[in-house]
Amino acid sequence: MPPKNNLTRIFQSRRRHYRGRVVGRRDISREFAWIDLEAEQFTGAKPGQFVIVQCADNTDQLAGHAWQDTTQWPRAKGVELQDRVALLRRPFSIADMPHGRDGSRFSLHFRAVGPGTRWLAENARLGAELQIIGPLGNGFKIKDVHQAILVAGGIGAAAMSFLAKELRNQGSEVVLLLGAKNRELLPFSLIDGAVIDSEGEPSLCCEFFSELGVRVSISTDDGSVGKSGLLSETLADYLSRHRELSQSGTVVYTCGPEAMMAKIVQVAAQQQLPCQVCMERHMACGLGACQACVCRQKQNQDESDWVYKLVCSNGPVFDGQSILW
Amino acid sequence: MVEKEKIDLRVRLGSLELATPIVTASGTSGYGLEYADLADFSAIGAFFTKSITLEPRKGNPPPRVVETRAGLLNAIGLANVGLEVFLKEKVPQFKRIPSPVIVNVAGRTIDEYTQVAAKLDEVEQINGLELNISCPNVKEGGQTIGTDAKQVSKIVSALRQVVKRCLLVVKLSPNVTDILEPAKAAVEAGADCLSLVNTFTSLAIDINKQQPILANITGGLSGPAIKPIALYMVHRVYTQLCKKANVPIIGMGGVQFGSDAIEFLLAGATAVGVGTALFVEPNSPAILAEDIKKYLADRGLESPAEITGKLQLPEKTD
Ligand SMILES: Cc1cc2nc3c(=O)[nH]c(=O)nc-3n(C[C@H](O)[C@H](O)[C@H](O)COP(=O)(O)OP(=O)(O)OC[C@H]3O[C@@H](n4cnc5c(N)ncnc54)[C@H](O)[C@@H]3O)c2cc1C
Ligand SMILES: Cc1cc2nc3c(=O)[nH]c(=O)nc-3n(C[C@H](O)[C@H](O)[C@H](O)COP(=O)(O)O)c2cc1C
Ligand code: FES
Repeated sequence: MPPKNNLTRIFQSRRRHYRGRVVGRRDISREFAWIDLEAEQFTGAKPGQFVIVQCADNTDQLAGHAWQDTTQWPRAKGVELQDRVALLRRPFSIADMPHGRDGSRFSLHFRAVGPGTRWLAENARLGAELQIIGPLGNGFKIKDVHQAILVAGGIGAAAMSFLAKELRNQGSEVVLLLGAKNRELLPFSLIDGAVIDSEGEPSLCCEFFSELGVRVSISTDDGSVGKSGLLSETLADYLSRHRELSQSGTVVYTCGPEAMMAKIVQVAAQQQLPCQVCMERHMACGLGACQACVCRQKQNQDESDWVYKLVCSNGPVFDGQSILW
Repeated sequence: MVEKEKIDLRVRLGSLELATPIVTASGTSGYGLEYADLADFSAIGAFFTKSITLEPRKGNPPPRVVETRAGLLNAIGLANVGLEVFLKEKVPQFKRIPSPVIVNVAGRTIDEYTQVAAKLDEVEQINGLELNISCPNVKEGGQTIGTDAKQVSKIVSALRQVVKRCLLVVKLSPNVTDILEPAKAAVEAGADCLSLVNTFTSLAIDINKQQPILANITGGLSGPAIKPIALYMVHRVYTQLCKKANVPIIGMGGVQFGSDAIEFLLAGATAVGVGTALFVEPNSPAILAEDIKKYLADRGLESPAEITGKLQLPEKTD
């Protein structure tokens, strides 16, 4: 153990900055993993909020890129020759607060796609510590929602599990329409022996959600499991089969690829249903300081009248109808 | 060995006294309080704001940033709230920032720069103005001015007329054949201080789409990748110009670790800017300041000024 220097003091005053210890991990498939983190005083996160995580070990300890008395000058490790090392922190939705909003535990659900997330997959093992800043962003609005239709494409599902849980906790009815390219790329495991409707009618077929009593409809682009086709079609079909949903208190929530979300907003609008979208953008600071993460928001019906909003701090959740895609 | 507690990290930047030699690089730390609960502000020597222009600017379409090996490419395009909103909404926050505040000024024309600077010079909470003539991501102004020594001379002279109270810092572009030329022009026209470098014009390509990754096509490269070039430029400007002219330099480009900051001091910087590394660790200023203390203590030195420009060069043997 290197001796503590007065950096300990420097860090004590910092809110929203945590060391999260990995206390649980489940590998869902080759690319998807779920980790539970324990971080003292990490409380009060809302569904839709996110954290930014350091995904490289050049700065792995609390003040890892500072001088430690017994060692040498800090250096970047694994200097990048062939492989890129993640420099910036990476954003991840808060996938759950397993001990409730006031518990100090939270979960991340990620797909390994590049250097940062592959590093996580490799290094976020039991006992490992991650540097985390959060919770950040605004989160979904769930007040007075009676029925919620969650529509998630791919890893967009990471934002939906915590949302489903909080909605269920307040007594809302919830269904999840989950889409992926193919069976391999489903972000959640299917329950053994569960019946999956090829027309997209939801059932208790998906881990995490079935415990909440949330039925899930599966669709894949190639039809390798569930309904074949796009999520927007699944939603349109679902709404036409469930006319009772077009009443007040029903809200559509969506997170996934942008083209998909744009279509979901359209389908929801046709039924006069409000739709909250969880946007994604490349981020640098995650804190509203650098202006990197903009999306366009309409000021009124006139499409030429728009402003840039920051996904990290004005969002990531926006009223879908207001977004200019 | 000197007791670490005895070390005085204060440095002088022209008329200003900074608590430490570490400053925030413009555009990476927002307008003021974005990092309030994540960084120890008492370790920040001076706070540099995002660029401010006369009118609000939307900036470039996304994607505006992309990470490259050991670096970050950005094409924000000087998105900012504009002078009026800045004065009304952002300036009042400055009273909560313990360090001097230096506002970065940008514009399309010399006249725009002058208007903004004149107005800001009257604001008591502002201690300095940094003239951004080096933004690579806008069509007018920015680097088109900063890469032409004649234009640099013209704009700095014009600003010198209106900036009476504030420290006048000129931020240089590295996208030139010889950075000494704009540096000389700025100093001769009356700059109190030079800051260098801004980002390097660069390109990142998506080979699957066969398209540039940034919507703006090109961006400015920052982060560890640019440090050696930035160091060279600071060293050149220091030895060939600023040492004799007694004009302090704020060195920046790729500072991440304490050792990086010390390298900039040795190369001739009086203060060191940290930008991209703030995204990785918002509390970088405190960490870097601690590390500089340690370095000085080990060598029996008491102030960062004692190492500024102390790079020892080998004797020429030819
Ligand atoms: C608010 C928010 C919440 C997110 N939540 C999750 C989550 O819960 N689980 C999860 O697995 N992923 C999530 N992401 C996406 C995740 O941040 C990126 O997959 C990750 O940054 C990729 O980093 P990398 O180094 O592995 O890959 P990189 O090489 O950096 O990128 C690989 C691919 O991902 C794209 N990408 C990189 N960064 C982002 C980004 N910030 N947003 C969108 N695309 C990006 C790149 O264009 C590239 O195509 C979220 C993104 C945002 C903005
Ligand atoms: C996202 C981003 C935004 C920036 N915006 C500005 C700006 O508005 N004005 C300016 O003078 N420099 C701006 N810069 C340049 C930095 O101030 C700094 O000169 C450069 O990034 C090099 O330092 P670094 O490697 O420590 O980041 C910006 C840099 C980044 C990464
Ligand atoms: S990521 Fe920096 S402002 Fe949003």
